[in-house]
Amino acid sequence: MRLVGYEIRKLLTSPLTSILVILTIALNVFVIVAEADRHGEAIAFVNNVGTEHGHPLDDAFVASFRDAYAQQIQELNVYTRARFDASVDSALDYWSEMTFDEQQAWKESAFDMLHKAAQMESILLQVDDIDAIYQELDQDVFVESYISQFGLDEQAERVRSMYAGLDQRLHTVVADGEHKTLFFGGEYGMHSTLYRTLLRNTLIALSIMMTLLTTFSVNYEFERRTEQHTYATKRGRLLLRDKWAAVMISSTTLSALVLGVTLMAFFSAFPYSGVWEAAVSSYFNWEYDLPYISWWPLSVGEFLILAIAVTFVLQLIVAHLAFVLSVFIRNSYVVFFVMLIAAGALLILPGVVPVESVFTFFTGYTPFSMMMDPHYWFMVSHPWAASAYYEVITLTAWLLLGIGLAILAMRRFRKQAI
Amino acid sequence: MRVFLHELRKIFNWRVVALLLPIGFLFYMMFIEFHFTHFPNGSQVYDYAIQQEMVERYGNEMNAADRADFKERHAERLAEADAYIANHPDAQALGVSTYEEVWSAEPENEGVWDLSSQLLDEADGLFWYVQAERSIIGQFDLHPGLYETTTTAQQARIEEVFVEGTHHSILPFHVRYNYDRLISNMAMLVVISLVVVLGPLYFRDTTSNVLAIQYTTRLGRRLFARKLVASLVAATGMITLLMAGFLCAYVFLNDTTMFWESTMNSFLNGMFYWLDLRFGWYIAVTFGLIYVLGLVVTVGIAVVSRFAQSYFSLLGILVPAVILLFVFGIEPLMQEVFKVYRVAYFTPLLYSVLVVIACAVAIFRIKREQTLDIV
Repeated sequence: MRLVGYEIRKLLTSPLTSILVILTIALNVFVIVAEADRHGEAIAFVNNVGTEHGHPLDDAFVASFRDAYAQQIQELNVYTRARFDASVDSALDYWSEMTFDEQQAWKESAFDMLHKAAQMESILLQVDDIDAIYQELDQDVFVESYISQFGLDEQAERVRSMYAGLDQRLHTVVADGEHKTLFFGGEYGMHSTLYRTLLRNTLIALSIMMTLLTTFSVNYEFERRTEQHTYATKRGRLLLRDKWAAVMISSTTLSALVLGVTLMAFFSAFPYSGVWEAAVSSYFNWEYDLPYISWWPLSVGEFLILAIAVTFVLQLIVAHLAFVLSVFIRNSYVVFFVMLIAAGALLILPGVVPVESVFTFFTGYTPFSMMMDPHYWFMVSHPWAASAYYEVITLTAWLLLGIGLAILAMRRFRKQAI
Repeated sequence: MRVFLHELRKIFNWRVVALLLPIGFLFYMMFIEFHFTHFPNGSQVYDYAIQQEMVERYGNEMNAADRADFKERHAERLAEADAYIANHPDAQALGVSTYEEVWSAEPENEGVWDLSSQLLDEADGLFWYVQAERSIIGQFDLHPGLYETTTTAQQARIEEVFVEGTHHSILPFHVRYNYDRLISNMAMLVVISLVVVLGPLYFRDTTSNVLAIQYTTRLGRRLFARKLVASLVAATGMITLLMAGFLCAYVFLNDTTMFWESTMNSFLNGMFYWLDLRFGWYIAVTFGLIYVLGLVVTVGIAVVSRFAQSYFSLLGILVPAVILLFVFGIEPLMQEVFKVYRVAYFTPLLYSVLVVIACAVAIFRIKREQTLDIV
């Protein structure tokens, strides 16, 4: 146990580890600050709506929100009558037809009021349309879109069968009103900012860090030329077990640290208190051609917790792979680049395996492909990650593979000639 | 000389080369191949065909007569398109008979709207050609007032281009854009290759504990400089190899040589430059800049490699440094070369600063090594 502690101290107190952690966090904060600058205010506004009127966009919401809007317009009209001798009916129309010169004539506080009223009206208008939009949405819309996007005309039947359960899920989404929950609106791309940008960057940075730290730990004795002493003893041969534990604990610690600080920065820039319980499949979270539809009913908060859990597991997988490579390749430099090559090769696999092949759609089941699309975890996604159990299968299979190989490596190492 | 040759041999040992090949291959597959196989991209095939024909007919620059001729030829093609529509059963059913009628339809008029996209797939791309020609004719009448600038110097430069008439040259936007992408990705490949190959150069001595022996001799004290020279030579060789390969691929796969004589300030380019460079010269300049960048990076790698105490610190510094360079540096270094929206001396200044820093660091280190305490 004492050795594990020493090993962890060696890894975590190295000045370079701190630099890498700080750098990763700094890059994330850089992204967050830029985003907050662009639409921090709009996010805060919608969050307040959620707090005051609740997140389900049912009749009660519409009634109370419409009242709030009417009140806002009334207040606005008090100002416009006095100032311009005019009245505003639709804040949105007024807002969009306004010229720059006209805007200059407004008092700032009144202008904010108009802006707010326009946002409220826009939400009300969108809520009205949601039912009609989701009526048109079915399995085929998704399937056809994937087929044309990836040129899978010949595989159409196969692709269709992969999404067989989607219609049922779409029915449940509509029946349970998951689509009618309040989120920030796809135009702000908050889901993408948090997962596609921040979490993906974090995953890549952590993977680099874990590969370096793992090989540093495992090959430490060989690099320092103390292997002849250390591994000559019985206890020395068991050192690899301690290193394994140390690496896994460090992986979790570092992931927690980087994720913790990043998420703290994110949620202090963007308040989520009013939308935690909204569904990720919400219409207001529709960012790209197709809406996000989670395979299970997931709220924004639940999705976040799952994403954090997946991140930890992915990092453990990376640490295991790096661990196994380090045992077999004693040069840390080579280990790092072999890891890089492996990741790159697995990433381009879906592009090079011919689509006719039976294996085509299994080539997406790798931890590295998974890291590229955190915003689609647990969601209906492209054919290379089509299964509802894509995440579970990939993580379980690779973690078991990693652990199995690590055990083999440790066994072999006990009898290896040095 | 003997040490130099030994060092050179050490740099290109088989293990490093075996690592470099797959890395280069994967990088090529992920970031470069696309820009070769997808050029011209999608419907730009038609634009490209017309632009090539323009150069063949008019040379690299268009004068007033050429523009009139182009418009005339467009009118002929338009007549052909009108005739095609007039004889098209679907168009007749919808009661439209000219190109103008079909293309000015509002999205609400679904029948005609759908007809326009259907027509694009018919008649051997006739309608794509009409569109491409229209877009080019639309750009005949550009004037300096159309461009948003932030400084008066930029405005003055754009006006100067129009007065001198260098904007009459033919260099399509997508050709320049494609090259910009390719060259910056090549710069990244160069940097990655240098890191992989040169990274361990000094560190091998540190890890084999020979520094103390080396530094007690006169030659040993000069090893830093010798290794640096060997790295710079090796880097030059590698860059030459990579860039020669790239040039072959570029000329062979994306043959844009007919545009090399056009100035960069073309009316089709959508971008203005501080210099009246021809595209071919621009390519030469960016090649030169890649050499400068590569050699500066080599000095950086040498210094990190010299001081790294473990592979962890070697890679722990090089990898984030490279990532930062790619995230923040590649755009100003490779994609904004002489572009008008930067200040006029941006590119020369940026590279001069890099070169001065690299030289200063190298000279300081070489001097320092002579008197360095080794205990």
